[in-house]
Amino acid sequence: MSISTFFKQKVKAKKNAIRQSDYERKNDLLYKRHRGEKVLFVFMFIIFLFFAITYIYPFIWVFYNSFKTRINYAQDYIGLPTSWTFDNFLEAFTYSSSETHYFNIFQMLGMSVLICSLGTLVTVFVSSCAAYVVAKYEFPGRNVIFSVVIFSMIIPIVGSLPSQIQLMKNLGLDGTIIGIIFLYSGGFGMNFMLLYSFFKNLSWTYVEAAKIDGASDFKIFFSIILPMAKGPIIAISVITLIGQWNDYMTPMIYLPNMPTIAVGLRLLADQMQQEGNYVLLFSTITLAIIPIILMFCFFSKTIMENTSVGGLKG
Amino acid sequence: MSSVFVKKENGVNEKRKRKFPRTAFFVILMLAYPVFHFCLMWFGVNINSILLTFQWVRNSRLEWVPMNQLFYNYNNLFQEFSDPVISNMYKASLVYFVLNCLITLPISLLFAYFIFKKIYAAGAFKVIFYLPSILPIVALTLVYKTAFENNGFLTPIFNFFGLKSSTFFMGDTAQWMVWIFCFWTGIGYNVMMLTAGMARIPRDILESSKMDGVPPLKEFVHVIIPLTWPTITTLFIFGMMGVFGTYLQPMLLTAGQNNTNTIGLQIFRESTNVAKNHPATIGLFCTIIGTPIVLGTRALLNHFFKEVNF
Amino acid sequence: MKKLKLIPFLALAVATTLTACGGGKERPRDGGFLSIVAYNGGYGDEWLEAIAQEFTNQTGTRVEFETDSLILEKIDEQLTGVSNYDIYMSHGLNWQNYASRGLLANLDDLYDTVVDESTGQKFVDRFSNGAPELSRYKNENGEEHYYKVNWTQGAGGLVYNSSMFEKYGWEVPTTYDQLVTLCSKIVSDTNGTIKPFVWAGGPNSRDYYWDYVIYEWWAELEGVENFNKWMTFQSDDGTYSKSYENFNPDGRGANFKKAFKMWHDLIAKNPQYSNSEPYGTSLSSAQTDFYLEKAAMIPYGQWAKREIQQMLKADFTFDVKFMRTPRVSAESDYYNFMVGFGDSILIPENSPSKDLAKQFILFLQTEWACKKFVELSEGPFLAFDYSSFDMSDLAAKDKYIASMIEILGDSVNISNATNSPLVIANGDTDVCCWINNTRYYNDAMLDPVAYSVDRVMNDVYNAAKGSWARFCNAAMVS
Repeated sequence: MSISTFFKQKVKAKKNAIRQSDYERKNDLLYKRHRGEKVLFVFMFIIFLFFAITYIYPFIWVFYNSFKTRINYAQDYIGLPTSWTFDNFLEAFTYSSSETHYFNIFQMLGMSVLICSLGTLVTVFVSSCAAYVVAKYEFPGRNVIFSVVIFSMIIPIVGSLPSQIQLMKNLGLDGTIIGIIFLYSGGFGMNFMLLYSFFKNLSWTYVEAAKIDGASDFKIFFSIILPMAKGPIIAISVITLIGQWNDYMTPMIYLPNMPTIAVGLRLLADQMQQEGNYVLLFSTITLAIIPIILMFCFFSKTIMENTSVGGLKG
Repeated sequence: MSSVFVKKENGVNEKRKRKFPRTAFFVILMLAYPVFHFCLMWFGVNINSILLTFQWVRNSRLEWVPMNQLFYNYNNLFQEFSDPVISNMYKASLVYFVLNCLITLPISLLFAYFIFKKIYAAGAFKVIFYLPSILPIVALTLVYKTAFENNGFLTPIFNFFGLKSSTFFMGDTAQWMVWIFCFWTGIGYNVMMLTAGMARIPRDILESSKMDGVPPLKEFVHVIIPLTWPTITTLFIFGMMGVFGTYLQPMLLTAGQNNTNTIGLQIFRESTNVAKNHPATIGLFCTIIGTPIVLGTRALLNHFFKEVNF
Repeated sequence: MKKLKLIPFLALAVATTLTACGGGKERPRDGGFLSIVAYNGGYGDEWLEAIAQEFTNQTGTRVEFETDSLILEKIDEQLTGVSNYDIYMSHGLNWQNYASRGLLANLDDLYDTVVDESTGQKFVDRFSNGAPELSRYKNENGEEHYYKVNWTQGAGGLVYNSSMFEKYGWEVPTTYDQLVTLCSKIVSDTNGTIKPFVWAGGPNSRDYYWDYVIYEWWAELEGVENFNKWMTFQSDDGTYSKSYENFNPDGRGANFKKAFKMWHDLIAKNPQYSNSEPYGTSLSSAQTDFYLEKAAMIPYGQWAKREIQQMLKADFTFDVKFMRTPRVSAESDYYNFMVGFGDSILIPENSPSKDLAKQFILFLQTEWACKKFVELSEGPFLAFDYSSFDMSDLAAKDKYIASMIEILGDSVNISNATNSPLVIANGDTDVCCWINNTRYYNDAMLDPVAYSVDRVMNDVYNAAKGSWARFCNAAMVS
């Protein structure tokens, strides 16, 4: 499927959804409003519109200013470019310095892709293993594990970072990609809780059948359980991926020599601001957020539905 | 021995003698890594954190404090309350309780209600409000800061009112800029969670309140809030944790200057120093103070509207 | 079936990780060549390239070098792990800390090396202004050794457009009063189209360039000896617990206050003397204003010329000079704040090429290298004594360099470089001299009435009082 058809379908679906919700609103008893309410809703709509503009306009401003020349921007920083130039983007593609460890924006994006894909893969897999076993098997210490995990999630631990840094140094894991993946690879977190409740409610009949056929526990887990859990696994993968993609602290502390895009953007921005080259900065911001916006477009429903579920378990 | 490994199958424990060792092996293998990781990165880190509070720096190295000065770090901690930098840090951090729990959360609740009530283009608003939650914070702070600078798009608007927006990040207004940023970026996540919570309210309850002609405000207070209480509780607790956890926003916006330094930022900054005893002590102190408060609040909040369970 | 498709992807991912990590930490670096890193600031890297090239020509040693503005963030890891470099050159290096942890090479033999066979002059004698005393520190066993070599000496204060001064017939001011008169003359001569000063308090703020001017006035009022004593951050009895009293505006901080008042009277109370809204002005737009001759003077350090040209990617179209900072009193000497005097050249203990590194430093102190540094960094000086060198060729070539030679040659040179444990433990930006790095230039500029001299100096004093116990605790002194 080409991208344009994808978007056409998306737009079409969107239109239909709007039409449908319009219809629902007009004909659904729940959403019938009388006069006073209508005024209230119009008032709130205006407020909402104002908020929406504050979220969208700054990025539109950044976007069109990234097509200006430096002089054009200096003369007029509000209006549209007098002539659209791609030079800033061309420069942003290759811009690097010792501050960014000679990583250009593509290499930073590459680092992000590498770390986030591996990090997500490992943590989701580890969480699935842990959640499945704790949810479905009775073994000594099971309740202990579960209580400790819950306990660890509700205690607001403050300031464990210095200790963590010391530990990572002593393990020789700081400054390595493996180290970051290791940090991300915890199995008992929000993902655990989400998958735990999923497995808990999972029907056991397929497993029964497989067991009668003599399938091993491993086989059951890999060929029956994981495919059944595809939905929640994809959902938490997407959320984890976005979380790791935007994570600033971990890679900044533990991988300063190989900046990911979240860290590298700051390094690039510092340099460009110092040079006063705002148009270059804007094109860099644009390039840096395009992947995440695209991802959001593709998965917005998954992300939004599952963030809310995930958060509730804290 | 291995007979304790039993599969739970729809509540009925069915024992199968032959397979037990293999099942035990499976359980151990599946749990080995996560348990190891948890022991190291949670117990290990936190125990080490406590041990750090009994160390000090001698010859640029951390060493154990002598027994006669066992509470050296704790003494310093209390001594430093009179240090304006430290006391302002605690004060500035506490503001995030007010901001997150008493301002952002109620406003989010109101916003979520109108989205739930399908205000025109509700779906689009929900997505747009959520945008800051998925963008990298560096990009957000850069755009936000640039907007107020001399060449920023907000400057002419403020100039029109006779205000110099380039001074907003200086002096007393700097903290307002950080708070506004936190509000601006934080509202979307709350709205998302709350609308999801509202969507779980059974339709018949809403229908009957509508039939009874309950006005929106009353419905909001007497129906919606009680029925989304678990979500509200969660978000309230998250907001409280912001007192200790907020650090990236002040770091990236104001570098912690002008009374915007927070507990989190101070710890973050000192965490790479040799003297890790200092941030670790602040952290442990906050954990000890914070835990009963957070758990108490949680218990208290759960006490209201207990019967809700969707 | 699906999971089978995943396997090659997994294998690929694991392989990538392994390769990405393979080049990393644990493999020690080979010796036999030199690897140098210098702070990427206003000095550029041409000087390093030229000197490294010449060193290679003379000794046959391969030299790799780079410049980096994030050295400070990386050096700890480099010194404790495997260092990529044999020589570090930067400002702000916490070298005392590294020395006491045993991470730096002992340089005693370097300082003892005879550099001039005919006179028997040793390396230790090649410095001016007492640099070697500041380069010694106690190691982990409590023995004192040389652990660093001073990198640069420099100037801080006002840089001016000398072509513009000539064009309008403005005299270069020699006293503060003349500076005050000059400012009003600049405004009246040009109807305010040219500002006396442009400075940047906004994004990438450099408002602290005013510190240099204030330090110079302060040192003149205080006298060098007292100024240096002040910079130890001790009370008279050598203790620290009450030495915040040094900031008392009615006591030992009186001259600091006087110097700040001079700034306040001239700059903060006269917004017409500065670019509009300097507190919102970014560094690049301040540089641009100076470049476009919208201002006559800009507070800066010795790297001014090189840095402005590098940032704007354009050469000056007029003559730029460094001004001897106008004195408080006409009878006094000129005072110069050596901005770069605390900057360091370090050799890490884990370097495989320590001897080569020392050789390189010995090469740095030769006349050829010293002059090359001045020429290619366009003004700044290495920390070595230049008094025996003939600098006339460089002076003739470049008026900015000429002005720098004059300043360094005939001023009383001061600095805030110190081995005070308080500064080492807390960083000079937090202790010296705006407590907790809270500077007041922008606030005073925006509202000189609210941020009066009295209030500012009382705020500083109270901040010092409040935070002093924490500073002492961190430094483990009392």
